[in-house]
Amino acid sequence: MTKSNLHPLKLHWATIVLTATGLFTCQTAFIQPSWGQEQKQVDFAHDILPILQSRCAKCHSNGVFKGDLSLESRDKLIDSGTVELGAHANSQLFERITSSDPDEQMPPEGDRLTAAQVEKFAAWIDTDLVWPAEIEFKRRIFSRPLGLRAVALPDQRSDSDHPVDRIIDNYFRRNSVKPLEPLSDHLFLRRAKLDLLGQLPTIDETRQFADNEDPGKQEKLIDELLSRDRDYADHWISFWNDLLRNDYVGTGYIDGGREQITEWLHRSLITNKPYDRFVRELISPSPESVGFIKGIKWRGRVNASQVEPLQFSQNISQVFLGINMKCASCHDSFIDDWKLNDAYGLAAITAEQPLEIHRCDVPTGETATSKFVFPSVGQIDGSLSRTQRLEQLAALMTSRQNGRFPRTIVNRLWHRMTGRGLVHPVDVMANEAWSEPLLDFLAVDFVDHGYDLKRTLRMIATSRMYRSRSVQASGQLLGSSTSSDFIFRGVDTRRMTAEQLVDAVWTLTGAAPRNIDAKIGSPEDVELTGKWVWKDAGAGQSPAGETVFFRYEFEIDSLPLASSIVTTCDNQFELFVNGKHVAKGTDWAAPITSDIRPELKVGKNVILVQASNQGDSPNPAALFAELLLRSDNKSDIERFGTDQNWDWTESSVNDPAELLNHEQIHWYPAVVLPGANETYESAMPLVQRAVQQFDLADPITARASLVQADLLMRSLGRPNREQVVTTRPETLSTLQALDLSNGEILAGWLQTGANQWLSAQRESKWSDQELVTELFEQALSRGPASDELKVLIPLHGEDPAGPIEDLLWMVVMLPEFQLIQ
Amino acid sequence: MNIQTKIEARRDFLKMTSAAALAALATGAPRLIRADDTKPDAPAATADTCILLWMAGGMAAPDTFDPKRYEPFEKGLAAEKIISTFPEIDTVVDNIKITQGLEQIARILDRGTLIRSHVQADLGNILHSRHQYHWHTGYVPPQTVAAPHIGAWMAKLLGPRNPAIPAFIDIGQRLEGVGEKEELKAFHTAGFLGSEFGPFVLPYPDQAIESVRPPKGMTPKRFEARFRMYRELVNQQHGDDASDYQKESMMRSMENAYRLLSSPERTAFDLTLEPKASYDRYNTSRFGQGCLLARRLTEAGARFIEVTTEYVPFVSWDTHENGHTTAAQMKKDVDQPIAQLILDLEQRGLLDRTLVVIASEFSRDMMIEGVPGSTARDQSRAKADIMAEMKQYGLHRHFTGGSSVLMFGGGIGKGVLYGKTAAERPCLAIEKPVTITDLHATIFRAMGIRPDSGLDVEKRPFYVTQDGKGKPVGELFG
Repeated sequence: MTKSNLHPLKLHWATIVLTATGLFTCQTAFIQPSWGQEQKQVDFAHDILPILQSRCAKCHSNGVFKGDLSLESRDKLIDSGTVELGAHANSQLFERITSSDPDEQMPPEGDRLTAAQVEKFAAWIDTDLVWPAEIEFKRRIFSRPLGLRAVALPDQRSDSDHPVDRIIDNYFRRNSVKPLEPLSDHLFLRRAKLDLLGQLPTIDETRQFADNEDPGKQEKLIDELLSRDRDYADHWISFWNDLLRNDYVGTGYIDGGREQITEWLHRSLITNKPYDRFVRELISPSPESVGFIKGIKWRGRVNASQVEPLQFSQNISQVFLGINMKCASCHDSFIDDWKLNDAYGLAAITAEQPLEIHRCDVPTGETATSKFVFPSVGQIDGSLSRTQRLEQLAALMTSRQNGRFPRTIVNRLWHRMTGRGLVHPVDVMANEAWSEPLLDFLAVDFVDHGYDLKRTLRMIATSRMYRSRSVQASGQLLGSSTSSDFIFRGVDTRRMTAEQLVDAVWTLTGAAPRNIDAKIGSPEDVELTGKWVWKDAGAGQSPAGETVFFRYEFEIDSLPLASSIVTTCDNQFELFVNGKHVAKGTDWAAPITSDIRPELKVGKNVILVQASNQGDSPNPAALFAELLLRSDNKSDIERFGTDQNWDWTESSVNDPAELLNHEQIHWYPAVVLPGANETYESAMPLVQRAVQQFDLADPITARASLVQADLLMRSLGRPNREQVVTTRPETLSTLQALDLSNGEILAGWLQTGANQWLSAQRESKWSDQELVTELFEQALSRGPASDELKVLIPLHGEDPAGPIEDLLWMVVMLPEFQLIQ
Repeated sequence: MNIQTKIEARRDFLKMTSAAALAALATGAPRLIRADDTKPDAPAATADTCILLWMAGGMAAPDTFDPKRYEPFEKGLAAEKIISTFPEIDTVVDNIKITQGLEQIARILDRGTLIRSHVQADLGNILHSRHQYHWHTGYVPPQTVAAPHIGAWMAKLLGPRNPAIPAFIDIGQRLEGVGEKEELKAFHTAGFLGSEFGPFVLPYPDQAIESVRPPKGMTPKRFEARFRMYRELVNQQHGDDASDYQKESMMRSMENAYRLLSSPERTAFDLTLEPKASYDRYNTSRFGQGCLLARRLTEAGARFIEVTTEYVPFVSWDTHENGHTTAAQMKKDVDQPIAQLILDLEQRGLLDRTLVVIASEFSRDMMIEGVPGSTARDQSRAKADIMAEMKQYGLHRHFTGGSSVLMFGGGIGKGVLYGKTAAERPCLAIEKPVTITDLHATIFRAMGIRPDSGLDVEKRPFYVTQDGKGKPVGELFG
């Protein structure tokens, strides 16, 4: 064996730490057929390191060097003269660990090293003491108390007294960072809306914001954006889907090995559920939020570190605490302090059966006992039922004493809003923040105000720091990956995520799909405007065969984008729109949804329902309808349900056209039937679901986050959600650029868009310059400059849509468009 | 292209990608543990290009490259008597027999090595996508990080051979509209290496050119004008507050893409430019066309190419019933184009530096699911102890105890037979077993990559072969 098995990792260790080679050795050991001819070799990380750690380091490292022997590095060990490379028999070290003399033998206390361990030491010495030079025992370089620390805000040093700015201004002064420069209105608006809602500002928003002279307008904008609950949820669901491994299709969903939490998640975001409760509901779940802790049940044999309880252990550690439990799921971690017992301790909480601890996929015979990672916060009583244990864990996780919990989430939010975590990388929360006071200030504020995620976002977004120009990403240029040598200078220029970019393109092109894949919103929440009606209150004893006509008239200025009517009747109905027969229903428990947009016209429209009662003797009769209209240029839906504004008549004229034109016929207001909702209870959820479907199918608000990832989104970095993902790719790769340059998906959207812009140009009689201006304002929140117009105009080509398509492509490909500045 | 220009081209590409690499450093993204080609102890590459011809769905060794006792179909035949459903045939190498239907390959076996002792892990339950994930990444799923395809490793560690040709090209597998598509996507990826190193996916070889030319309906002139205007706009820098770093990195990728889409090399993707006689020799199937495309791309300077017969559940090599008939058809599809590919590479002087590997996720057997003693559920759809109809005749169970791999070129031995399986059931590898890990180590070694090359991801090392423990099988090199 050569040194080749080692690698130059330079890491900061907590207490005694060493790096690992072949961490996956054990993880996947079972797949090695036993007949493999293994050359005898020493795996430092697995064979030697654990012994050094547990048996030697206490007396020979970390400032304690008994017998002048330092085991802090290979060089120091060699310098000590206790080993002769390549010859274990001549080495004092070997002599001492095998000696039977109580005064000589090492370690002096406890059990002797086993024969196998001794053999490993011999082989280690014989193979030249393989030990990467970069690895040294080091002192713990940083630790912070678990509890939150109250932060005394520094004196105000600039014109901003915002708490975040007070801390940052103080930091800037100490680190000689030059002051931030103000950000223009349009870039601030664009940044804030993309960050908080994932969308481009509309032209109206941009203009109104520019015209607004209120000095507090930026703060008000943040409040206004955060109040758009649906848009907020549609944007942040991507962040949470990545974190919680939730998706709409994928491994395990079909065969029940995995469950979605989409509906729960979306609703939790819409209502801005307090984060402590949010996490309690994930850890100690109801059936609708069980998917996260359930994990993914893989069919077939999986490594012991990937069974569902260990997935649980790894995922809650990473997501909620910024702890990497992946190493410790297999063996005591080499990169931090976490032990196999810690990983299994969490796993045991959720395990249905006693869970046998496996080290490197080999059973140890020990059974895991429930254990929380921070004993000072509290412990789990392993004798309780699984449900109770999970409740306990949920309580400990969200306990006020567990400062790691709020720190981890506020750090993730800071990362999202500025491009870099206070603690970085965001999943290594043991690292020092570039500003510990800021981290704790945000965490305390978050906890003190009810674990309010939006409050923290607001806190960040309203600071002058966030309202300033982005900076050259100094951390990126230096390639520094640790917190300690990073200097914060301001918000980074960031790249749009796949979903942000796709949403932006859909906005510019109208190419959003008609349907979404996420099952979101609960139908029970849909409030219907319609009521059950009939001609009179005696509907409960309506004569058999009674036929009543109901009518609803309404005027529209322009054709709606979509329109449907959901109808049901006891016993039977025929539906006509503007005289045309559209639908028929014969079962009140099965409401019928009809797309009526093709029948509608500008001006007056008439809905006519011929409703009839059946049977041999008097029996209940009732009609219910909900008319849905989505107007042309906004996402609002107008609904007109059956109520007293509908008319009824009885007539022997059966032809609907004739009936409607008949001037002699008297129409009377329909009568709302109290209590009918109970009578027809089973039909109501179906009506609600139909209304909701209409709502969700909104082509204006259909968001990329709510549809399955297509190949373009995947290419742009939307992840496969089998693993927890906490960051997205920061730069555009060549393969991505290829997909954007000639890929069919984007090209298709741009074609759709070009045709729409062309008809808009013709309709509004825009000059080419006006079209370019309109597009720039929508896409970039600014008009084109004169030399840009010079490049772009005139728009000419053989096919009139072609130049517009190219124009769209150029704008969408501008760094200015794809970057959040 | 001579060596010198190759190096220069490589350097250009590296220059272009350096900003992306810098960015990767920033985010706690993977860092290279060992840049092999800069180390004195890196193995000398014996191949510049690797072509993997993937027999998707589990190619039965006894019905292809490892003939056993043959029992022709007849009613009343006991299933347990059947090991091979094809008779053996001679090959150009004296001591090597393969099965009927592979006559073209039989004639070129003197150019390569036949391994009969490739073994796979028993994953408890046979799922093609899991075994394929294992074979393509070297790691058994699930993993706590997304493991890269071996082609992505080569793209990452070696870069493209010609900057105008994507380093990792993946031919023949649709990733949409087929069963288990999400599972397939999980390993047709660069994983944590990042999309820069991911596969350039060409599901339909005869439409490959579409992927490297201007969008449909756009003339080259218009495409060029579009990019020229775009560049002008970008250079005017209006309303542009973005950091130079971000902007430059983005423009670099856009320029790279544009160059690929307007480069002369892209004609390599166009099968219609192949002389008809040659095209016809390959045109047995989509796979055959894929082999032709692979040859053209190898000539143009590709680094890693996979061509697959395509995995679709229960189709092609995935024979759960009617196995004999289906295998006969599959052999028709693959025999001629594989042989032609080897001959063409040889004729062009490329075979010596091109490693061609023909492999599958596991073998098949008439009786045994997995390996003896495995708990895997029997997945045959035509179970029969006694043959009653033709559809019962075939190797319908997934066998992981011994399969065949063919290797040609790139420094691999010629006319060599390596390893052996038992003559009688269970036909386990009984001599010189080669695991996926060691097979990968051999492939990487041929490409000049040490099997313990790796990256630091999430502070943990992740190696090109499982745990960095793969050992090249030295005897396979000629």
